[in-house]
Amino acid sequence: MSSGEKAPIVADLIGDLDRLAGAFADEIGALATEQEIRLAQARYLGKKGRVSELMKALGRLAAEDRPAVGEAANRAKASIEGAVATRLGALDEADLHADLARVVDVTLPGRGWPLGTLHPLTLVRREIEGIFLGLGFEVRTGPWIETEWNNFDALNTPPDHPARDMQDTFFVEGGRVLRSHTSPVQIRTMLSGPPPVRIIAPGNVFRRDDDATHTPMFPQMEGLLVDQGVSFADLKGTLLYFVHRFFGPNLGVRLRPSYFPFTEPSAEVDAACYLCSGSGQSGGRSCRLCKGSGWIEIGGAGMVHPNVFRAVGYDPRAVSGFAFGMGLSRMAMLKFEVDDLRSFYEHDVRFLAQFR
Amino acid sequence: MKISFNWLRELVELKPGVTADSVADKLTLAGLEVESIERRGRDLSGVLVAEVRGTRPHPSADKLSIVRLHAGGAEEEVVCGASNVPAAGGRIAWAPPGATLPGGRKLDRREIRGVMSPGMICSEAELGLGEGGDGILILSPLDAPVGADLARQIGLLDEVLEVNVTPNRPDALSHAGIAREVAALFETSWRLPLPDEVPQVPLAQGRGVDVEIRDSTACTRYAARIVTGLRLGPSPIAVRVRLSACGVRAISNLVDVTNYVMLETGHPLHAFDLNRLQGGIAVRRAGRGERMKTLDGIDRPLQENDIVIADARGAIALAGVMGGADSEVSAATTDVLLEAATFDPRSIRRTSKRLGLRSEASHRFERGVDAEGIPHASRRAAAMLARFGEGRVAGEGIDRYPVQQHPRRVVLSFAGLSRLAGFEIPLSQAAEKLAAIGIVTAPDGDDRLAATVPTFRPDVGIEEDLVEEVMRLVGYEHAPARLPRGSGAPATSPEAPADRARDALAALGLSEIVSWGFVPRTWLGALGGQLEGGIAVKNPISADYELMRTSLLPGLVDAAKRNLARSVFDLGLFEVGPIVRRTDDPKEPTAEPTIAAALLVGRRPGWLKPDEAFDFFDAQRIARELLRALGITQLAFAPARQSLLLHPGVGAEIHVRNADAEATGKATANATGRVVGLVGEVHPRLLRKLGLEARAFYLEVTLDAVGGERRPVRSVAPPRFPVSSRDISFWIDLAVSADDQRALLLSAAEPLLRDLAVLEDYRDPRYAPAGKKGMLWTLTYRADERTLTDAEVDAAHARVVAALKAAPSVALRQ
Repeated sequence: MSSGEKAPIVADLIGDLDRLAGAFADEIGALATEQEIRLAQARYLGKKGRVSELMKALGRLAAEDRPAVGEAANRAKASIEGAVATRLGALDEADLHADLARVVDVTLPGRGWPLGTLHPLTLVRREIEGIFLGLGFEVRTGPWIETEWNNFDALNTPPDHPARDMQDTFFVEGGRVLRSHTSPVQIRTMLSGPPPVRIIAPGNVFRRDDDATHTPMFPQMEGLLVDQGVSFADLKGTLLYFVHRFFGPNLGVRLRPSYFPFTEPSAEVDAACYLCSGSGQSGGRSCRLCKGSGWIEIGGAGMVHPNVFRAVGYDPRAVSGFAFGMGLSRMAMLKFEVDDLRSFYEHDVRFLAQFR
Repeated sequence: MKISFNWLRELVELKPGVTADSVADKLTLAGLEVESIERRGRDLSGVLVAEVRGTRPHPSADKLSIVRLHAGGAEEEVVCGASNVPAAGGRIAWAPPGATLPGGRKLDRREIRGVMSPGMICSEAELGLGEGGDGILILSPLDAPVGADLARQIGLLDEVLEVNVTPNRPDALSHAGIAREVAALFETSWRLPLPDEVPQVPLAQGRGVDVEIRDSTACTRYAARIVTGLRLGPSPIAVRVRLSACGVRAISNLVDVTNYVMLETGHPLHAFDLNRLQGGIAVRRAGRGERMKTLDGIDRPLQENDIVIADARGAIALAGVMGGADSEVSAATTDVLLEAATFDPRSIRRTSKRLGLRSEASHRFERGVDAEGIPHASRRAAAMLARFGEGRVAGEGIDRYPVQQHPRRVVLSFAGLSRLAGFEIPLSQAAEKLAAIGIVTAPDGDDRLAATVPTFRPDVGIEEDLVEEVMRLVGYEHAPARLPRGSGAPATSPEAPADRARDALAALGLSEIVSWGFVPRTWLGALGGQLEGGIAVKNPISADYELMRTSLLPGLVDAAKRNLARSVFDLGLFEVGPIVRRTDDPKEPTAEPTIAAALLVGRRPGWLKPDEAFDFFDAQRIARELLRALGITQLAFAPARQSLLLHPGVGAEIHVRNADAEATGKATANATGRVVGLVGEVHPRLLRKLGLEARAFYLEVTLDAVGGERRPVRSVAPPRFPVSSRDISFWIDLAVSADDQRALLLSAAEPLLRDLAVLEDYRDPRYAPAGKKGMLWTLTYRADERTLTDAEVDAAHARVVAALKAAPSVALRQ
């Protein structure tokens, strides 16, 4: 009868093990956290778990019965572990799903400080500096308060010369002037060392003008190149290069005879109008930028006058040079299509905020 | 200078198709820039020269008359309101039906008080000829034949070129001078009108006036001519039209002639009433203390450099600048002495500038009047005056010319021309171009020209001047364009630190402004202290530009105020630029250090916490980051309780620790070192003075004090072993600053302590003991060569805490 007694035990054991797996699946179906699931898993598979409890009977089984029960136990274990993994996977999926339900209004502004802005006059100065740095020019600067000698005399403009009227000058205490142009930087540079010289000099200058098209302070950019054999053709080429880089390729440059005391020959510099490409016509009517002339005035230039070289101790027979100057506010007005010169000095952040 | 195209055409042979515009273009490209062209008389048409046949009263209006006239055709009767209608045979300007007047008024047949009137008889004003006084325009038989188109006949239809004559070209300040240029540019001829043939009488006994030049540097030539028996009256209409075109008001035949000849020849002329002169004339410098009443009625003190024309009584004219009241011509003048002269340009300039008397005459004298042209101008004016005034030129005139002016000889070499121009211009072509403007040349060897420069071109004195003349006549457009050979050595820009500051401040969210270098006196007055003493501008345009700025603060405050006025309340502004201050060095009495400064007003940007106002720590952060961008990391902030600019409790001086600390990067506690700037809340009293009604935070850094070059970065590898941190919380006296606490914590000299930072500064009086604040610091421990154990960290932390506890005011919190 022993086998008759054993048989139902084996069958019961296997049946119990199979039922445990089913019971576990039912139990964790209601559980919502990983912790609860792990606790449930421990109740079934732990050292004192229900599977282990059942397996204590294994030792009392006949050797030939043990494989079948062991197999059932492994099946139950696998089933429970599988159920855990599935349930955890489902929970994670649900978490993910819930997380993915978050929505922000992406059109609201970002947090923190926006970038500030550089002044348009700074932007245009740097752009022009960059162009001339590429040609091997270096930047030099000088003070606002100058001697009359640096501002006028050394630049071939002696006292009582009518050319002094071309620049209505501010005088300050101590017999000095507020420089009326950046040209004194030429003088300072040449006095500081021998040729060759290849500089640009940006900076503010001062004249007694205050109306819609003049401000009493305005920025200029001066250029000076002194070397052996420098000619008018070099000046023209340099200015043409500048116009191509600053206003656009294929635009021409026009030099018109003019007069500055410190250059001979002297020229006014025009660039072909970038708006109408020099045609004077835009959209079937007279170009609004160049007023139909096809040219826009950008500055003055010329070959350095021998008297300027003599003033700084250079030998005018050994070297020659050219100089040019331009108003940076005019350049900025052209570049950024600013209609009112005064905008640069009114500090209106609604205007300034455009120059990012 | 205004150039009448009608007048110009009279002097230059121009082909019929040559327009004012083409002349303007060529002049502009030759260096005589035509800034605008005024087209005159365009809307005037159909006005005719008519002859009066008779006049009868208007049947129903006392002040009107009915004028019978004809213009070569049928007689008409025109109603007229003027009282100066000439008798039969007189000539007037009639605008018949169909004619148009300036302003577009079109004439018609119209009933006036019951009488039909075909058009009207015109006054000068109605013809667009200036004021012209009362009444209708009366023409003389000299002016125009009956039936002629008036506009065409008297030159009303004209184009006036506004030529910008540069100061080096006195020769171009006349129609003749421009004619010479135009003739050269169009390769044609020109002529100077000859003096009229007029009756000449010998000088009556005793009427002669001697002229003596006492200072030949003051006056190189003086010509005097006498015209007698004059009848003063209006000039011929054509002359008045030309003067009007050139912007000169017609006054009388006498005054008009002097102006007309000046506009034609460039020679200013002056007329003295001969009968008011006493004795001979002397040209001399003014004596010490001498005074003179000028013709504007003002009694003026003279200076020794002034040049005067004097008679036996004293100065009767300020030479070249203004006549004297005592010798002035009047309506009763019949005999005049006409002066044509040249005076020392510098003296004229000084005198006219000093007295604020700039005129067409002084403008020419200070640029240089050609002594060689004086005889012609004198003869031309005397003859014209005699003709217009029906007088006589008396005697031969006097011409004093003590120092003969000679043409200059200047050599032009092919080498010099090519070297400067950068391309080759044959000498033969150069010679042709120069000849066309009156500079005669002769070959001087194979590759040189010897040029003879006439006296009317004082600006041409050296070879370079000749090069310019040749180049501008050949055309600058013929010069090739090429880039210069070679290149300079790259060098650091002196603007680099300023630009780095600009970039940093813009990256920190601020907007750059540019403000004037000079400011109102009140702005600096508000700052007080040394900053009040700005360098003064001696001739400011207005009180807005009186003193050179000594600080960027008032300019930034002004910028903030302007934005507040525009309802922009939240602002972060900055400016980088020089200020001007005095030095003790007599050789360089001023210095212009470059300052970077910023101002914060209103609230922080951000919609999430929309009402958070800017505070000290926003400004301090900006200062810190700005200095970091400039290569300075070892900073200290010391309270600036005495500052006139900053709130006594919310302001700091920015110190840069010494160079060693900077170089090694080691944290040190002492706040010594040089001051490079300020940061804090703007002093509320200062804000009141400057009128800004909002709290503002300011910072400034003197870039020159920070130093030029940023040191290159010396990188350090990141630590290989982990850090451990411990927090420490304690009450401490309010007066003990974070820097002081840091010093306390560092006083243990604990080698494992690598970093320490404030987490909280807690001052709620409901919880903090009186006079105390609660501090929370986090301390970071690390070793370079191993991972620290908890025990090691605890031990190190205990040593630091022990050092802190040594301070009497500290109470540890749990």
